[in-house]
Amino acid sequence: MSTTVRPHVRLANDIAAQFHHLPPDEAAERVAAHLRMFWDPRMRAQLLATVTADGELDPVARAAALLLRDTPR
Amino acid sequence: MGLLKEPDLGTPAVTSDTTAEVLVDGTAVTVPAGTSVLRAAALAGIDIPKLCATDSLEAFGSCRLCLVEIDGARGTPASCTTPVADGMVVRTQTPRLEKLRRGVLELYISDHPLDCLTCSANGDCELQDMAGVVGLRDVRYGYAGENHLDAPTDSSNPYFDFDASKCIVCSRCVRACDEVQGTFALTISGRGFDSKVTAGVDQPFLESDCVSCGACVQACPTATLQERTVVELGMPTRTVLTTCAYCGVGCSFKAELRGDQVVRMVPYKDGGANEGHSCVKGRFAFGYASHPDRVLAPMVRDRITDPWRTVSWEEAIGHTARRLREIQAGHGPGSIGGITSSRCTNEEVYVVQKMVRAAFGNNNVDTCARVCHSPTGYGLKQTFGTSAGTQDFRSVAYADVIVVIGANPTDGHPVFASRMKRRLREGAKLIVVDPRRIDLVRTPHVEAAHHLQLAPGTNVAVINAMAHVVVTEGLVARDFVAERCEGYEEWAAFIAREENSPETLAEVTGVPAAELRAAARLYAAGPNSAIYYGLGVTEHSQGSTMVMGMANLAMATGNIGRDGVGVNPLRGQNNVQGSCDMGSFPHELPGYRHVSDDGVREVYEQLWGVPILPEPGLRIPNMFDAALDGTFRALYVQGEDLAQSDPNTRHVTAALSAMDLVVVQDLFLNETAKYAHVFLPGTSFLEKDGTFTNAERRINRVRPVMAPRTGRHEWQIVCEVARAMGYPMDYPSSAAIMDEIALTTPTFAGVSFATLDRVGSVQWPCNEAAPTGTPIMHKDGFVRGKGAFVPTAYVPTKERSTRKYPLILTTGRILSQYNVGSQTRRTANVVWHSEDVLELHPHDAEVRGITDGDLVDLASRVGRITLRARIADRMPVGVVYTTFHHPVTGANVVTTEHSDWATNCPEYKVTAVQVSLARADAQVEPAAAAAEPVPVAGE
Repeated sequence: MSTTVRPHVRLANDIAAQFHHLPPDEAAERVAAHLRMFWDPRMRAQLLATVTADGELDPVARAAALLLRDTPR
Repeated sequence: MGLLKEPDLGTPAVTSDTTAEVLVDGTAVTVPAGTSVLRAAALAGIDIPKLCATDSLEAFGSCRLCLVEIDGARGTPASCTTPVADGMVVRTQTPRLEKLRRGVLELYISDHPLDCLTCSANGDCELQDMAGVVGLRDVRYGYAGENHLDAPTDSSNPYFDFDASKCIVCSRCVRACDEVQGTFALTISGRGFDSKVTAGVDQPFLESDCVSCGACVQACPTATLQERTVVELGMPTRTVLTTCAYCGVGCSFKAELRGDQVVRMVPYKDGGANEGHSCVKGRFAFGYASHPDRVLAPMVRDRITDPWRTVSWEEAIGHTARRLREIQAGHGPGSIGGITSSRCTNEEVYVVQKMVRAAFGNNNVDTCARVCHSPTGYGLKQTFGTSAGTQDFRSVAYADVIVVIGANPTDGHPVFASRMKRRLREGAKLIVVDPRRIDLVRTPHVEAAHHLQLAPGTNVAVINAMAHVVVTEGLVARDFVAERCEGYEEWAAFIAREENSPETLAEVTGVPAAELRAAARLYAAGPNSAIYYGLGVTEHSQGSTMVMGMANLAMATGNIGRDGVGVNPLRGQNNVQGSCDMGSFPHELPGYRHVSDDGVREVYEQLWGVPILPEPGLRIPNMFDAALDGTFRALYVQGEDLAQSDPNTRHVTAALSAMDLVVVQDLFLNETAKYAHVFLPGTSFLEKDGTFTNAERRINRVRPVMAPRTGRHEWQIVCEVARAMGYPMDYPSSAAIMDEIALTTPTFAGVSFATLDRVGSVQWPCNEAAPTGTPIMHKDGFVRGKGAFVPTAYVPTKERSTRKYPLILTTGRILSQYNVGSQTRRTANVVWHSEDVLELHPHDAEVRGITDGDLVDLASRVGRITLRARIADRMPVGVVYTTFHHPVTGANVVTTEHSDWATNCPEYKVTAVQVSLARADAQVEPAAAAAEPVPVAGE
């Protein structure tokens, strides 16, 4: 693992990895629900700010971030 | 109260479905069948003389003082070993008995020093008492015969002496070590007149297997085994009942005092958690409270490089409040936060989270449970519906199979371990899941049926494989699952996949498939199987998954909701459960209710008169990251040493250094205080007035034995800071804080100091539905309704061993020390652990040219430290172990930022490292100096 991965990306990827056994859409919804439930809004904002640009974001985490953008709460 | 002397009924209580009525000296008494005559008499108010009998130990029948006459029976049987029979007529005082007892006492006294007036046990000696009770007036044999009066005193133990000249060889100490503690360190060696109590193989106590729990000292009827403090200070004159401030067992103690000076701490027989037992920390290691290192006056400084300046309370509080508000004005309301302490009372914790939510106006509050049992909160809430263990400690006595996962109870939770070992000696089967061969795997009269010596980081694979066996071999408790649970079919389909089979996973876990299958079958067969687990479960990148995996397994086999079963976290600190209960997490208000719940927020908004944010705040590691990106600028730290206990020390200290204001409230200038601008002195447990909640959800009173040495209770300090910030917060007493907790938290609705003072303790939920508390949870249904099966995919940690870092480091603690050691290092407990050492397998040592005692470098990708090596074959090849009790070692310099996916609990248990011989001129360096600059995420 790169030691320069930003914290919110690393943490989002860790969460996404736990749901890889699910179909991608369901996994993204579960990750998004987790982020809504447990992440401070500024961390969610950081994730949203990097969602399109960050190549290190797990696809499920990216899909979850997009769900957050559409449905913040 | 005066000095509390608990009644001693002579032999333990017996439970039986039938009773017997006996007549003792004309007094009728009805007792459970099987009760001893000695105990029955005591229950009738008649004390039969005794020396070798005490109600914490099984009857022994050696002293021959408790003789009685029984109608229809021959001779004068010992009442301690004689069970009652219905209709039995007993006489305890007859001329024949009196003569016999005097004769026995004559023999004892003929070989005992006659120094009662100068003896340390004067006034607390059962031999002295019995001499009076039997009316001993002279000793016909004289005192010049062969005797033991010159027998030496063993003063090797720092806390108690063994004066062999005063020993009457009643075996109470030996039996206490065997039956109560379960260590079997003492024995009676020799025969007849040469019989004597021996520690180990005729060793000094300190060098023997003795664990200094104090059970022998407590059991001794004379001054033979005596606390050193009693020898030095004299007998105590009053008692305050209180609760230990160390681990999550939460033992009840009698603080025995002269004035406000603690003479000794004696475990309380009526304590629900410990039932009269103790360990070396709670029993003896309380001296830190009066250690000269205590800081008793507040201090401030502008920069962390400045010297501290002692100031008045008013100045310290005003300065703190002003700086917090200034920082909020400059950087926003969310730029500050607080951390609560598991070493503080529920009341002290509650006011900190209230200050953060009501005065700071955000949810940036977290607690040190973040770095230990936060995955327990998440995992058990998801599956069972509440964030707590399912059982009381008493329940282990009904377990048939005990699974210990990632816990080392004999070191970390010794009093509970003794209860567990007692059940194991009675025949319960033991399964240990741990990379290390912990002591419990093979200890006197206990041997694990299975030791699943898994590779670090593969807990989830092991629990999935066990569940796979249960599901695929038809061992599921179908009725329980159908009636009580939901999500089973989906979970069962997942767990039955070949990828979860023991055979497939053996390559990952290192556990032979046949051994794992046998363990799973044993657990499923029960009939009562209980899981106990510790930080070896939670402190992983999959900690929350593992907690849910254990809950799945327990539900699938129906091991929930009755005595002898359950899923039970062994909590590290005394009030971890309580600090979590009190709303210390940034997403939860007290009682584990999410901040997004409008109804719950409304309760507090109405009472507190301020709006509460509906969004979660920052967790501790998020605070550090935010500090480094400049958005988090001030932290109020209640009783936690982040700079020593949290992972990746360099990252932590960089974050602390980046903040504009760090406020530390603690007993000592700890490592975190090096980065603080304000130091607010805290109170020890001997000064606190409040409650602790232990791992079994038991709420116990912590009562002060003296006024706060700092002049302020800790909750008062917090209230004053909040008021100085403009938020009115005040209470007339800590009892009033609990009243507010009860008013607003449904699970605490029935709790008050008055209730606790009346009944001793209660286990939450304690409310209208359960006015005396809830020892066993989920009896008739789960808190969430149906128990939820959650598929638990095994996702390996990202921390991998490599050619550069080929070993895996796992960290933990030992019996004599506690957490960061700030308390225990300031007691005589250091004789057992003067430094942290690195344990490694002989093979790993040999290939590196390391011998026992060598100084070695321990390096990970984030840091390097130097410490001494200990060769230990209990370690598996490829795994090394150390503790984090000493700041000079700095174990967390090498641990990484990896954390549990759901809760950010750090992955302390898996760090890839290399070990090498240190330079010839190396020393154990201060940790900060040992840390090398390395790039870390977020910096």
